[in-house]
Amino acid sequence: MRGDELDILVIGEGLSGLTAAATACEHASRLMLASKGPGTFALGTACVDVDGLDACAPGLGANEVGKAIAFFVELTSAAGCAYEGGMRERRLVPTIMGTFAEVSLAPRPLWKGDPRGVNKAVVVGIENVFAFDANFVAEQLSVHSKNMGLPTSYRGVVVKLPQSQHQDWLTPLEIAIEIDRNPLYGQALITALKPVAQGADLLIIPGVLGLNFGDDEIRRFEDAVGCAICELATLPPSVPGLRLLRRLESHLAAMGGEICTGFSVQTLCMNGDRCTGVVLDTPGKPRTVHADSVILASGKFSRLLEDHTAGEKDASGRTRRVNGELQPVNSEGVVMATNIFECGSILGKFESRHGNAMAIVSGYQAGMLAYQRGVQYARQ
Amino acid sequence: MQDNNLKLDNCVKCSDCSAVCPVSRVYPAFPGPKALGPDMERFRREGVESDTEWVEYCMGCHRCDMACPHTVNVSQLIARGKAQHKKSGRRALRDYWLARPSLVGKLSSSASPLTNAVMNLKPSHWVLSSLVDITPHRNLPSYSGNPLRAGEGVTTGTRKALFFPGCFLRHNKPTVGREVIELLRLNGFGVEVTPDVCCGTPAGANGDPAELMNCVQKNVAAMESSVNAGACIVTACTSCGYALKGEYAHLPSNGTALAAAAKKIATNTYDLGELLAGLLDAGQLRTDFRPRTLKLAYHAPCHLKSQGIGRPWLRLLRAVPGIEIEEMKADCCGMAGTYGFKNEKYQISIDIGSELFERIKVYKPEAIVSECGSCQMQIEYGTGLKALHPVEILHAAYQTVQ
Repeated sequence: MRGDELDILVIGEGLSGLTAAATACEHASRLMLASKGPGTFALGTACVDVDGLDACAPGLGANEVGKAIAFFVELTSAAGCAYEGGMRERRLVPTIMGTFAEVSLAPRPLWKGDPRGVNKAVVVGIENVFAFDANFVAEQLSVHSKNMGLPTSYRGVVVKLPQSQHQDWLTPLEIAIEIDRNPLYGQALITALKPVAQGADLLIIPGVLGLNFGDDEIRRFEDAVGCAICELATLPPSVPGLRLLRRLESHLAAMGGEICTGFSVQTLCMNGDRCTGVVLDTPGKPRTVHADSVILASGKFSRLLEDHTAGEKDASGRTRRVNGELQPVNSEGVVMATNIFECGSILGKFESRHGNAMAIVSGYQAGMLAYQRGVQYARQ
Repeated sequence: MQDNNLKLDNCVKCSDCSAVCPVSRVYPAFPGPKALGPDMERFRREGVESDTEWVEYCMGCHRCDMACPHTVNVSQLIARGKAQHKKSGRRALRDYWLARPSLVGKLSSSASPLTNAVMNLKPSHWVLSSLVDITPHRNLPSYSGNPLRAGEGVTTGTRKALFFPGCFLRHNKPTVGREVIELLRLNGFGVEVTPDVCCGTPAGANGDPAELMNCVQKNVAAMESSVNAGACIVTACTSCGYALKGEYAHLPSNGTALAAAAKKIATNTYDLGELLAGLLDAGQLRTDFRPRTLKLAYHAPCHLKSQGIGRPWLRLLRAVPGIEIEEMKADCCGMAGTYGFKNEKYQISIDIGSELFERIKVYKPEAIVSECGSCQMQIEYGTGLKALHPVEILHAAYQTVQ
């Protein structure tokens, strides 16, 4: 096997790139995901909102959305970072600003934060961990749940953990890393949470449970505390976001995909209406990677293929033009590359609350198309 | 340099760098790459007193650089902090020597095996530990009485390769260095060994920018004419390879003759695995291998990852019938060249490596292969198993050489 000849090359390690890669990897034997670093989803709450998506992305049938969402739920479950929810589900999940966001899917620990069915919830902060004010969150959530006519009460509590000797303040990421490193530290958190959990239906904590924690570890942690736990994404770095990124990365690697992070894509190599590969900005000399199909998931600000799309907005406000098969087209509607498939925020045609949903849906479609249209064509 | 100065403004404080730092993973007090790189650099540039010993705890693995979605040169920014850091007398003395493996090699090689025997006596360990803060837990690498010499090589061959062995292959493992020459010869290369000058990585890692520039100047001068005449530079140590490819291009000031020559060096440098795997892909590699049943574990050095050339040795060794080889896909080994030899960093080094040691123990290979001499030392120390350069396996596989 040649080193630099691939079936499918995915550019971009955001949610759409990872979803596209995981989709395509089920069919393609030689797949590489190239990126200069993680996408923005790793900084966020990792929630997905599907509601109203078809209205802002006409042409996208409920059937397609449903298939993509089902695939993602299955994917995350297999990767050990399971999502709960689905197309027709709605839940209210709390945020660190003390509001509720209505979502269709969320990582399992966050999904549990819905106030309905919860009587007594405790918001737990950790002393000297910044960017999370438990009392503020509890106060705000109480107001919001009251406004919605819900009986849920929220109480703020701050617990103490053994401190690092050298730092006055810790970030949630630092706590998560310490929990991964030192099982006694995780035990100390369990010991601190147990008395707080007495009589409560739900504990709401900042995202600090280890970066390496998968579904099983989180379940065991909950069992040890003796109460359901809802883990909120904090300011960047967001532990739930990073955890999802890592789990999807390892899952992709286990499926045989190669992950090459750290190098920007300099150019796309074009030959007529086909893209033959890309040039990566590696030290010394650029590395050329050839592929039968290229998935462009390089984000809203990507300048790849810029010359071809000119960047102006059309009537629906989108800045990229793609046809129904996600292939880039020029202003005359002519396909510019038959083996490039675009997905994620590079399509730039949806509201921000639908960002993750569009990433998953378009990523799934691009992954399927890259295989069906690109690889199979090349093999003919 | 201009480019690199501006990159600081790309930092959006997302902390993706701190999430992947091997030191942060095992050492909670370490402030992490974001704080020591982009954050502190703002103070350093303004001339605000911000010297901190923490910069010394950066291993220079470049994982932060690779994780940054905005291509901030995090590790270079930390290296600037290192260059400005004021050390105590003892550590300054130790780091002076650690920054000069080529000089240490010359001195030790001339008096080996006496130096080898003396350095690894218990009392010597104690002396080194208490006087210059070198850990007593490790044996120092032994030096060969017959190091690779400049100009050594073979003149046959249609293509010319300038072999840059690096200090470890030159002074500590010259047999492996000679196997590199043989592999190149077998595949049609004339080979010449470069003069005994360090690539400069240890100088950079030990906060000695003057010595680093000295290495850059000497090496560029020594290799420029051969490169102009069409030779390619071949490295078999991934840290030397990364230095020539990734560091040389940005170290000299823009617009100087040195910068232009260094750029040419960078463009014409190939990792040995990269070169041979390229031949394999083109159907030009000799593959008259003798089948051999062998179960190997592979560890990819950090400076291989930062070169962005994939895993060429996995493909090369898989071309030998009967060899079973799997990548351990663990974090950094923790050795980082001279880092793991320092008293104050020894435990961090072991803690970082433990994930890799564990995976190797579970996999139960007959030996481990890795291109980096320092990874090999750490793996042998951490697992008690034999760690080899992949060259040793491939060389032994050729029918003709045995």
